[in-house]
Amino acid sequence: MYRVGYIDDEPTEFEIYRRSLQRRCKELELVLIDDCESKQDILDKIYEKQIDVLLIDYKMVKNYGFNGTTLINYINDSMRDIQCFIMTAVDTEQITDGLVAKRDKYSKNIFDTEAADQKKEAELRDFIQVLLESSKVFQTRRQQKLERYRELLEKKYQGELGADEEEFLELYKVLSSYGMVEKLPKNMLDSKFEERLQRILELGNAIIAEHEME
Amino acid sequence: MRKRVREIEFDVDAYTARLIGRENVSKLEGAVLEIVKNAYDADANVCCLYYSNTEECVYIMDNGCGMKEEVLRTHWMTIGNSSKKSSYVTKNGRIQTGAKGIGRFALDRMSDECDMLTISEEGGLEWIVDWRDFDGSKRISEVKAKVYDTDASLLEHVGIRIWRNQAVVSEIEKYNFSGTGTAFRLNHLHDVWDERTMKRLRNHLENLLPPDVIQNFCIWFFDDVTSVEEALITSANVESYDYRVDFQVTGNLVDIQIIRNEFDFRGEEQEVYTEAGFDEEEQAYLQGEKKKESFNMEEIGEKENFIGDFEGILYFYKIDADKKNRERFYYKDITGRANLAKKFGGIKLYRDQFRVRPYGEYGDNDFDWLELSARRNRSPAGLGKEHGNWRVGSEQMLGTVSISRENTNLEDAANRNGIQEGKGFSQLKRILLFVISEFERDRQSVGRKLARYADKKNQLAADLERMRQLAEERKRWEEEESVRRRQEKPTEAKEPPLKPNLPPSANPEDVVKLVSNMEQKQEEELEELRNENKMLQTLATTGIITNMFMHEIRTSTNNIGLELNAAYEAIEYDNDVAYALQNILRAIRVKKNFASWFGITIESIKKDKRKRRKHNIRTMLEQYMNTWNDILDKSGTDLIYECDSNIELWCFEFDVENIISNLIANSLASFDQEMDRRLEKREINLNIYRFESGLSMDYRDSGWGLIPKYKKRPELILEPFESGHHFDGEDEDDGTGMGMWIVNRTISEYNGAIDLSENQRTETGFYAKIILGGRNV
Repeated sequence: MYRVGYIDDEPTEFEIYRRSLQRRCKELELVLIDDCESKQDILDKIYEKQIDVLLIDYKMVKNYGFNGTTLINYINDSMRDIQCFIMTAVDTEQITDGLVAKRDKYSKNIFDTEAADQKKEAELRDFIQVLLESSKVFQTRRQQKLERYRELLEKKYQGELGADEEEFLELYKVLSSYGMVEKLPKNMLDSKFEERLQRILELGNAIIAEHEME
Repeated sequence: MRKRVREIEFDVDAYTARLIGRENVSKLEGAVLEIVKNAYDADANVCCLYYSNTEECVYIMDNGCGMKEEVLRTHWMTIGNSSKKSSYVTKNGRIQTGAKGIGRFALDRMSDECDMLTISEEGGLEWIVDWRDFDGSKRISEVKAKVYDTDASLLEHVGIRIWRNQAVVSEIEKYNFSGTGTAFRLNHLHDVWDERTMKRLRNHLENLLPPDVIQNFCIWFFDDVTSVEEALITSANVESYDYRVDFQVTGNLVDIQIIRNEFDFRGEEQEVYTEAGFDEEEQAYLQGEKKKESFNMEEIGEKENFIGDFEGILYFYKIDADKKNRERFYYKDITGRANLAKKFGGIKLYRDQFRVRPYGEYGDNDFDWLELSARRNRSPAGLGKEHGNWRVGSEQMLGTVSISRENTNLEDAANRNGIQEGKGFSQLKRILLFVISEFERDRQSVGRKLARYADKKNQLAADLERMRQLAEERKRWEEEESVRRRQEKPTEAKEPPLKPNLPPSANPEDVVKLVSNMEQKQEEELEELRNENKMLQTLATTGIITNMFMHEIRTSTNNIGLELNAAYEAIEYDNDVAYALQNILRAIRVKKNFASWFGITIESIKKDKRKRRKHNIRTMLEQYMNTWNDILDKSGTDLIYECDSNIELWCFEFDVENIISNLIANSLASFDQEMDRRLEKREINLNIYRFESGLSMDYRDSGWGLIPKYKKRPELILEPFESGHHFDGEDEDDGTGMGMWIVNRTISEYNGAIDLSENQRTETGFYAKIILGGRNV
């Protein structure tokens, strides 16, 4: 099952979208992201609800103070891999802030299949296919990240992390938020951790050497 | 498995190399420009170009620093390599203008053979190349140029003693050509150097350098018969002008100085100043004092300065003015003025004192690179017009804009044809247009005052003339009458004449009737036109409002569709009738919202609103304001509205509605603006109260307020096509720039006024005080 996050400052039609999606693709579940005050709140909720792909309303200034395109920019700064789509009631051509590519903008009308109109139905199914594919890509990438993370974690234990420290922390943040890795004790995330570990190892070695001399 | 490693060099076909050069310097003018630039970059103080009609060859000579063998090998002979890329300030402090390493192809553009002597402090080198060697299938490394050491002097190399034009030679010999420099002899020329070519090149060279800027560098250009006066190139200059506008962009500031030189009040100064309403400050400007203005980038609609410092001088130069306008606007006499744009060009761009072609080049597509003509077509209003902006024509604006290679985002296009398009060049154009519009505003402010004064004077003059004629007729009639009476004997009783002896005249009653009929007809026609005008304004407002709420209207239509479709699917797939019913009920609720939208948009053009009558304002607006209240409530906006009950105004209903609709539409657009923080509240206050014989509206909102571009001069928003557009991106603006213009027009039709000055004092929110019919409608 893949989880499609839905963000809208006035989500009056959420239930319709949810049913429409569920009816056509059992693998997708539409999840409402609400009760947020800020962009950071939204980001935290995305992690918390284990979202794989996002649908975001464009006009949200009234209740949030920012538009959907600005939010996508913010989300992608922290989560590069997650695919976000803008949903709008206005003409997609009218969103001209240049923050989201044209292919990632959809009209909310896409869910209105006009009583099983063939063309409309095909458009919606294509869109659902895009959502499914984007979710799968996101999960695959997370899996790959997990492998890389394990590699780096091993290095960390060996005290050889060095310049990869930043990458490690970033991977840890995403993967732990998605519950894919065990939470590490706070002090282990500290950059001084390796130094301390090294010192302990050296001390240990010295003790062993001293002991052998005896 | 890999074996036997070896490296193979890249090479290029010689012909291709030549083609690249040709592409870069495609015109003869461009080639000449490159050569003069090289002389300037070499710190020369003179550059001579001589075409020998008898030998059919060209000699070029400068007294710059020449080239050392190392420079010749590594820079001159290496295509694409330029010694000016990294260090570009010469010993004498000139900023070198070339950098692409392709300028030398200019020589190829001009002739097949080139014989160059270059003398540096290390001695002389002669370099000979036949550009035809580049033809065929040779590789570039196989094409060789010959280089000799030589002790010949520059003057010997060009054989100045045998030049036909000895008059010019004697002038050239006064310069120091005994030391370093570079001289070329170009044989087998590609162009016919006839009189036309010479004229074209001379005009080009005259415009190569900005006037009065370059010291210590002169150009001689001549053939066998050119006179000394003509041979020395003098930069084209603007000697007479109507307006001069100097501007400097320094960091975040744009400084503008405007000099008016267009008006001559012919000894009537005091009368015109008083009657036309020029205050003391204005009078000083009309007498030639500079009008200084200063703006920061935000105030001109720019986020930041992407291009760095630059400056320029622009001239407004009318080519003709008919007698009527000359008298009406007190223009100075400009009889016999030539079209200077042909000689001087339009607005020309100079980089480090050298012309960047082809901007402002007369006859070229880029002559009007700021698209002034298109701008004028969009706003064709005359100078004295009260509504509508006067715009300058492309051939009336001349000048120079000076940039430097130190400016960022303004790189040369590789083909030597202008500047690379991009955000820097777009900003340059926008700033120039801003400077031009400041000048236009100044000129029109004078023009409007003078036009009003002329109209007032004309009316008086016409009345006076009519009275004078009547008086004369009366006088004549009285004289005739007294003569007639004297001729009659007073004692003789006579039969009264059949026809009274009065001057022939029309029946006064008929005249009164005729005049009254004519007035009525004229009034009817005017009324019809006024109504038509009002209708158009209302339609425009309807368009603006509909456009403004397109998102909400679309959302409502979408939602009706979605709900109905959901109901269909619930029954069809799930047989869930209860759920379907809920969907249908929601669709009906959304449908009801539409009624409100129609109340504001389509209803506004209902026929009964198009009749002028005496209205009680509170009653008239009741329904309309309730509708707005519904709409605003749904968009989370509070409307606090109050209106006195005793205001009576003779008006069209939709005029007052148009004003309110446009103001509210602007407020909502401001509320929806995305800023770095959330807007605290969405509130609109409208208070309408009685004022003199009309009404006053106090309007304010809690939005983000006017953008910096309008903060200092909020009245600018009343001009047509002004819209809150930040000019820093390619994104289109939502506004039409018509809303506040319509508001202003309507206000002036009701002898009203609008005061926006509160906006200057407050950081956020929008404020307007509007008076309608306060001084009789």
